Amino acid sequence: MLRHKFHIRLDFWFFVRLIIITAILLFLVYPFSTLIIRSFFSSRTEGFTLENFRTFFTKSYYYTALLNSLYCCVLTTVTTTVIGVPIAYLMTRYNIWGKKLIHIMIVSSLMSPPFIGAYAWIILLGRSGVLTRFFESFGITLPAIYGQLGIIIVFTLKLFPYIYLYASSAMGSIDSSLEEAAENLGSSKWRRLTSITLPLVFPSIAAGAVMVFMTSLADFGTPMLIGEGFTVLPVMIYNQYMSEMGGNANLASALSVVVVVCSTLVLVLQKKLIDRKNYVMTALRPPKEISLHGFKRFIASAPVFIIVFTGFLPQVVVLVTSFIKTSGPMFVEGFSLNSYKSILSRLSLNIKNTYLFALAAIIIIVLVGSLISYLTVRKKGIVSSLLDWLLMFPFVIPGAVLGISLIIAFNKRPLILTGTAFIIVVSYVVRKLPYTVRSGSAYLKQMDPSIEEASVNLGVSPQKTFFKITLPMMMPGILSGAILSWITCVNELSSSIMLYGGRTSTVSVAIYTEVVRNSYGTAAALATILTLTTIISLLVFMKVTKGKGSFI
Amino acid sequence: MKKIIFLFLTVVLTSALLTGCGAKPDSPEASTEGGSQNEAAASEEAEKPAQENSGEITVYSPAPAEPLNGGVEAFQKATGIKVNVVAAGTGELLKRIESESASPLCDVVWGGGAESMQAYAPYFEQYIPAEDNVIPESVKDKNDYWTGESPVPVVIMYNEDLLKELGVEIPTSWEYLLNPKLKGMIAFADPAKSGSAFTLLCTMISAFGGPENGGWDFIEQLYANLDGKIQDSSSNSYKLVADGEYAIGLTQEKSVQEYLDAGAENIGYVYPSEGTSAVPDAIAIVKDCPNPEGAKAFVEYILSAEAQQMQAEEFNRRPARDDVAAPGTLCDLSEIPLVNYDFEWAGNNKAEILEKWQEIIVG
Repeated sequence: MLRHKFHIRLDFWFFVRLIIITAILLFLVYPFSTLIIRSFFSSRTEGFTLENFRTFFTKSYYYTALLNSLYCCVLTTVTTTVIGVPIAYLMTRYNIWGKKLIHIMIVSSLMSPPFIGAYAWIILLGRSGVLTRFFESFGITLPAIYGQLGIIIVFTLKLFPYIYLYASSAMGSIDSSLEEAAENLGSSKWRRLTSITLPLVFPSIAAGAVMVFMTSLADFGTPMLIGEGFTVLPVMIYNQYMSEMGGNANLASALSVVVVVCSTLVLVLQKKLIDRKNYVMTALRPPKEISLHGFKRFIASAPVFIIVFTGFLPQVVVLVTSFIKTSGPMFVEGFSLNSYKSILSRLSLNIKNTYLFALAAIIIIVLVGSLISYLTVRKKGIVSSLLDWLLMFPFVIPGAVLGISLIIAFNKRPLILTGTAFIIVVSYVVRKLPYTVRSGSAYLKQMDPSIEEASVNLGVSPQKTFFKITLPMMMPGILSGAILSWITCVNELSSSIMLYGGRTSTVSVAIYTEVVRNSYGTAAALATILTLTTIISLLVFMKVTKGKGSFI
Repeated sequence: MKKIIFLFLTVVLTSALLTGCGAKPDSPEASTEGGSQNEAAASEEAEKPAQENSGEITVYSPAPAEPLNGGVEAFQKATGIKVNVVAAGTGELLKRIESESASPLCDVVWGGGAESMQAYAPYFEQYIPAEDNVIPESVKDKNDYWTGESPVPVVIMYNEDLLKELGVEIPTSWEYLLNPKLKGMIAFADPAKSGSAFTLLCTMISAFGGPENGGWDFIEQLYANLDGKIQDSSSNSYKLVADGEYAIGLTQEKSVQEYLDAGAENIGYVYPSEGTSAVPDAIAIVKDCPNPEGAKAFVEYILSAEAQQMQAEEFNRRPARDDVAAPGTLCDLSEIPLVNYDFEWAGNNKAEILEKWQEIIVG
């Protein structure tokens, strides 16, 4: 009897492990190692060569892109921290007006498609932008949004929510007795802030800063639209791969390897930093919100309002633009629904694709993600730690790099997948799965295994136990993660732009190509669809998690 | 628990409903993926050969949105064959065709500059259109890999307001572009990505003595005056001038004319005095394409008198056929100063020319 049970158990989980490991080897390890191998070959020389890397580090055209990338990312990390931490402090400690709404606005500007921000800022602050013209009529010349300054501004407004979310969750869970103790011992408010509060939340801020750094390093849409002469690495990778120059797939691979090395270094650095300075909080007494009145309340709210509204502005801009009448390639006076009519007749396939691909990806992510979480938490072993380790990879692989490696790996026999919907879904799953696994395992760690054990002891098969007991209990954790993944999949651009074909184009790809092809009205209408989807999904997320869900 | 699942489904459905009303619920590939929760099984599904469906073709086109959508919609109406469009720069599209050659996804490339198409001739299927006799030899391939469908002169576009601000005269020649006052104010697309920019590059090389005798020197000086700003897409090189972001744009005649027709003021274009070129945009069928019958139907339609007429009247595209009148807004081709454009050289040496260009950029 016992032996028999042991066998069933081995079979089910063995099967699961086998499929998951095979899938990871096929869709993560194989493409990425192909990419690394490609980077050591050149069309000009035979065999193994370092030529691509030599070209990269000796030609200023190439290494400048790396320096540009690092410069933007470091500055963005600094500016987002400078903005994000105070906002988090004000939002957690004081009764800011419209707190809930502001929170939703902050999160939705984080979740909105990155390139929409860039596009909206061109409309506002381009050389002939609405604001530029408005101020010019008073004789004030605003700096144009193009180039490095523009990229940093757009990144900052888009990514400060990361710092805000990390910092505010940490500030909300500080044990207030620590601060009270400092107060009782006579320390000033400022001293309390710098010597108690900030050091306590430092690891969280650092984690947020790393997210900012990695996201800005990987972002493709923003610098592509407003970089102009200022080229960053992801844009250069795309250009090298997509322009028709023989043999440049090798150079593009080498560039990709450089990006991945950079982000890996940052991640390792952060781990080292955080491991040294981690504080465990019991948070039995979270700090109370201080009620301000009248003028003081205004002073505390104003900076929050200004930053958050500026960050949210792009979404308003695309909404308004989508209703403006167009004539040929130009916007004219008056409003109309023509942009929407045009996308419904011409691009309904893209809209359908977007939702179908994201849905397919989410189903796979939820199922596979919960299985992997279970394996890594409950079934410790060599395979599980291997899984844990392999799933770190997607964190450091930017979308453009994943796109290229999937193309290089699957555009030839025996397995041709380029141009299929499948390969796009794969790219979504590979990139988002780690987030779901992480939130799933965190949830599972808090669950008492005795319920599952009870079920198994009562004779229910482990497989049935997993689906009947464990999975439903894990669902809230997994599902909230899934909604966030759904949002990012719907808005995904950087790998879809590499992988799409005629039948598998998505809305974000269409926005990009419409902008490139000058059809700004339809681009705005498509962007509005994505923005609305994002906001509705966020509202559902908050409803599902009763406002306690974490976005990070 | 049920509530949560219910809400999750609500969000998915609401968002789908919000926008997907126009969408028909059939997408064989996508629905396979949706249902498949086993990755191994799904990958086998995806291995199926490309669809043999005469009801649908995929067209890659670098043409601007308006003429592209106009042509495609008219074709769909006339034949009932559905068209999936992938719109991007010529260079990018041809690169895609090259990397997809093991299992082609595209049926027809429409609108790429002829030298760019010539450079990728091995990836195309030879095809002689039914009404070959009305298309002059000068706009089609000797070996029938591609057929010209619209000759396109390249021009210098300018924004009068910005020129006034900068204190410079309206341009008359290529040479004029080296004026230091125009530094960083010239919009020129990357010839590696844009077919029209490649034509411009070769035209300017030809106008200044050809590749051997000083043509490249001019390009080097021009690049220095671009101040590192290279547009990612050829549409930027007129769009940004019309928007008042650049004073000068190097682009195609028809693109500027479209703005003038839409009522744009303060912009204009000139045919440079050293001479320009009128390389045709071409159409070609991809070798081993998924739907050869549909592809042929599309090529025939685009080259038909009816479609050429429409493209000329609505989108200022000069017809390739000699039995269709040129758009009234454009001057006669014989009035334009033309350089001696060595078509064979530009087409067959595209890789080397781009490499040389890349060397100038990389420095």
